Amino acid sequence: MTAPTARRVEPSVEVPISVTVNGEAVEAVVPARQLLADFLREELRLTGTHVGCEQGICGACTINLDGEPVRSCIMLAAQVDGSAITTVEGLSSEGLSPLQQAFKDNHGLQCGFCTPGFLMTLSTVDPDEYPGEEGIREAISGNLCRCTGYGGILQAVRTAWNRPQDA
Amino acid sequence: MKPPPFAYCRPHSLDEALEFLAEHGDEARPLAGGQSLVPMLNHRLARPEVLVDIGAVGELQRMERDESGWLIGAMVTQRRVERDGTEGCQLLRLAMPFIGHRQIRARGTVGGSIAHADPAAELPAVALTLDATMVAASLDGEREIPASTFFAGPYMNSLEDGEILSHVIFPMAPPSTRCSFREFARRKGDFAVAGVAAAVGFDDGSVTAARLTAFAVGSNPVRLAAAEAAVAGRRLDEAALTETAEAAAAEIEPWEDIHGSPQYRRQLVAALLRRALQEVAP
Repeated sequence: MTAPTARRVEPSVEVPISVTVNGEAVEAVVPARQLLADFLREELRLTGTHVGCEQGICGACTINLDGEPVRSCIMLAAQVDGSAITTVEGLSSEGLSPLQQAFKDNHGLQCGFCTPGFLMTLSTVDPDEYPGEEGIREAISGNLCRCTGYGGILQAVRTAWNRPQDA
Repeated sequence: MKPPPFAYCRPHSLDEALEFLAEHGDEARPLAGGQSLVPMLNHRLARPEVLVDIGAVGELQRMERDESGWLIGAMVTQRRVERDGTEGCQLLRLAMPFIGHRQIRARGTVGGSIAHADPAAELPAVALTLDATMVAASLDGEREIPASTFFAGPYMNSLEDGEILSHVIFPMAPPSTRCSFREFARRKGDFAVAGVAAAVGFDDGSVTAARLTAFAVGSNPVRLAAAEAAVAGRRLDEAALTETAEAAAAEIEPWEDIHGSPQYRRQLVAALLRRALQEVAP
């Protein structure tokens, strides 16, 4: 991981990055202060990543970064140089993914603002790490639905994870 | 809710990171996982001129275990510790799931949390309870700082100018030690309103050594010296539980905030400590 021969790069207000987004290589020069969520939305026009609280509480901006769910509103775009990102737009190349279909079938969204965050968390974690009904609640605990539509969300996850309610 | 302007660099070695920090002095801040610093930037509570991102510094990514304990590099994520870095260290294993949420632990680092010294954070409490050693690095070399003197007030540590936290050594507890970690928060994943950590050694059912800590009740986590004395040498019967919990409630000096009064926090600590001791009782 250490690259002692790498050339020293002085602090700068503009930072070149190479990142893979939804399978496509992206090269960009980003303002140092630009949040990752804003880079995805405004530069790449991937507006499915929603910006809610901008302080790491609500989870609406959750993306998959190198296989982990992370909050893109409390990361700098400059920090993702060399990484691979999946946003909600990358969940399915055609139609809805099974998880998205489960949300649709089970009324897992009301206003829909929080939905991309829920989908990205749930599509990134390993269901086996979150067993039972309690596990589902733990898995979604980092995402807030301000409509409080949790009943439908829980039912959608049960369906997507093939998990009966009394498990 | 956007960060103020700053210059950013991402050095690939510890020496280079230390050089940047030394060159820019007070105007520079190291950026670890960013799970506290970036929200502070968004709120403009922090306005550094230069951010030195230490995320690519390989020397800070070590995670090694030997018979004496775990050495965990400052930039090891909490998620990585939760997954692979707690074997043989029960208190660390119990505490990790309480840190924020999965999304926070994915980016948040051990060194970032400890250096940030949030009064309600879990890892400083674990470090204090286990008597962990913080190793600071500077261009002059390394310096060891015991947990008991590392925390210097709310959001303050005892690192000197030009130093960054390099790694933390969590010593392995003796085999007879049993641990509990408990906190109360209004919602899962929120910062604790009050919490306790306990590492208790037993011999034939009696307490030989108790290390008890409360957190989120004051400027920094605090060892509960009176409670430790109250429980020393005793079996954890009803009288011992009650007297130890009462001693803890009496010795802390909790602060007041929107989440609870001092009296409420005393009661919380007493109740949490009682449950923690019940949990570790053989």
